[in-house]
Amino acid sequence: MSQIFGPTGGVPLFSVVSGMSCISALGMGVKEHRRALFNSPIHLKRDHRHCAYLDAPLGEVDFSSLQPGVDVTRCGTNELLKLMAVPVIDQIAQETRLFDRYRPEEIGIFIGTTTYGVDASLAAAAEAPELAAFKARVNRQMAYCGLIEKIQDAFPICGLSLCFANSCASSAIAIGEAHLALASGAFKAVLAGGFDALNPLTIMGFDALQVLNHELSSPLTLATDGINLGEGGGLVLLEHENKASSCHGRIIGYSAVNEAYHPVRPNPDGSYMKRVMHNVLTQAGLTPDDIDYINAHGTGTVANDTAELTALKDLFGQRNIYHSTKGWHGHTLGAAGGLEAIISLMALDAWGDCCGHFGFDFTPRSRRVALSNSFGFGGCNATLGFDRG
Amino acid sequence: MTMQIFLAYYDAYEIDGPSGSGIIKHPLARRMSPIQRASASVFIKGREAYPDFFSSLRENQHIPIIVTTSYGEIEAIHSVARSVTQSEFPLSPKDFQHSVANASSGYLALTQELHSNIITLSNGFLSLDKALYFGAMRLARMPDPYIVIIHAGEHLWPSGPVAKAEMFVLCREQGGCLNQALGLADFKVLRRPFDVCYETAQVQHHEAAGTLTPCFNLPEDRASHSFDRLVTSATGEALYSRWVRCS
Repeated sequence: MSQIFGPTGGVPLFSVVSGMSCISALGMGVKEHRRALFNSPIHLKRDHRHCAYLDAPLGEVDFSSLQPGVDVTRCGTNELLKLMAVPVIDQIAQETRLFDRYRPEEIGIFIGTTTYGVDASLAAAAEAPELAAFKARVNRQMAYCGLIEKIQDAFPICGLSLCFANSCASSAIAIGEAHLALASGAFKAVLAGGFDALNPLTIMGFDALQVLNHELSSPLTLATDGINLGEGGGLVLLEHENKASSCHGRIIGYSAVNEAYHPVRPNPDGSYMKRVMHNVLTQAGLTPDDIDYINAHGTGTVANDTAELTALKDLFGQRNIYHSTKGWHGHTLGAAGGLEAIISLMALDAWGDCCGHFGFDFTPRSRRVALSNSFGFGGCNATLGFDRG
Repeated sequence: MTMQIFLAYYDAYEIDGPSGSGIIKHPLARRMSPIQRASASVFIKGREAYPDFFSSLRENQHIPIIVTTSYGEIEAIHSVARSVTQSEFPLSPKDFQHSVANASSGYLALTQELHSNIITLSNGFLSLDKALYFGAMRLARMPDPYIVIIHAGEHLWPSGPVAKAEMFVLCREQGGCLNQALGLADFKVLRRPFDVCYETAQVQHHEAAGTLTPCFNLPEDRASHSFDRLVTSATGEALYSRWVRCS
């Protein structure tokens, strides 16, 4: 039998993040996010396109800056997701000359999303209230992977494409699995991350679960209870170290486990949140003292934040090294892992400023290490580890 | 060193009707959707046939499980989408929970006490074959010798069985205690135009209106000889795999 997937062996210790870009209520691209983080980070507002039925702050992307004149009230989620993904990939391609250096079949794409196809489902349900008639209208526009097809229409990416659907951990798992898959030899570069767009179904669904905060949320403080939703996303370009054109940092670990506790609530003891962080430390050969920064999942619900704070304090004691940025851009759901991975890398790049601005503990050393947590419905917990020399 | 990948286990489970509970003995069973019940039931069927292997997955959190679905929880999506578009139907929090694509992964973990990394993929018509490709690719580089893949979907037809799940165990070593002995001799991602040798695959599926996703449907007679499989989406992307009988 022939060898199909490259040589056997252990997973490499790291893959290089050679390009990255993101979009959210904070802006478009790394520069705008950095500026927002250190100036006026909270970009949630009540005057948004969904205010007719939701009186609560949301983190809305400024689509008019992406496509002047666009009427977002007439755009479905599929279109909005493409509007976000294209400039993000454009920026990465310009920074890394991705499409000049690799043939289309050498580039893979791993995307996490939870909202592609919502429009098609809403349209089918409006036409067909009965289940049988709805089923007759199920079509490929309802499949999450349609987002990748739209991206492939715009860019020469023909390597393995996968769409990850692990709820709010989707894009973290997409990045982690891309990190592992890079070693298989199936492609030479892989774009990984995710996007999600605000839409009536998601907003009303979270409202029905009674987890939305109708005021500004203050994640990880336990001072408020509830989520402010947002939209956006982010992608990293992963390459082997010897091929990378630039280096924003390296992925040094990835772990994902299932809590098997409750369909949507986290285990209050935080044991599996602690486990994924601990697994990443073990993979990277690090101790808790080696970690400089943690971008926590920190949704703002008391249930999530209590569990995560328990895990963080168990592992890192009283060190002041973590926060959640969801209070600034909103919870971007399946895109959160991608966006927050990039914010973690940005924090490492500007670590001195971060410590000064956010009051984090500063330990003098040449290598900085960050963790980014993402936890989702269905009990999925994921942590990514990054370093930057 | 030559890398070999084998299909060590295959089985399927179909949920007969809306009230069919499968073989799940868990208090949550009555809350579960057909696709969730099918996924858990196919796992239980495997555990009943090979208790040592499948029970070991509870302890071994390093063996990943890939759950793949083309369109997710159609019934739940219909229910929440109807609630959003027609105000006379209140939006049920349970239906919203169930409408997320990894709801069946969550219930699988809960009812079977699985703490592994359960990766949920959703790739339309190519869902199953991309999951098999990804699983084989991941297996080739990971320290653990097995990977479990569950492909589940709801049927679109108005009567009869409502959901089906297929379970595959891929491994790096031939033999062992499980029920299949097929080797994976080739696996490629293709784009049109294909070479003629791919067009002649014995098992072909082409995306067309009315078909959601192709199953593997491995009957005994096909397991007894080699076959190749080609699945093409409407976009022209395709996956070709060649499966050979191992002595």
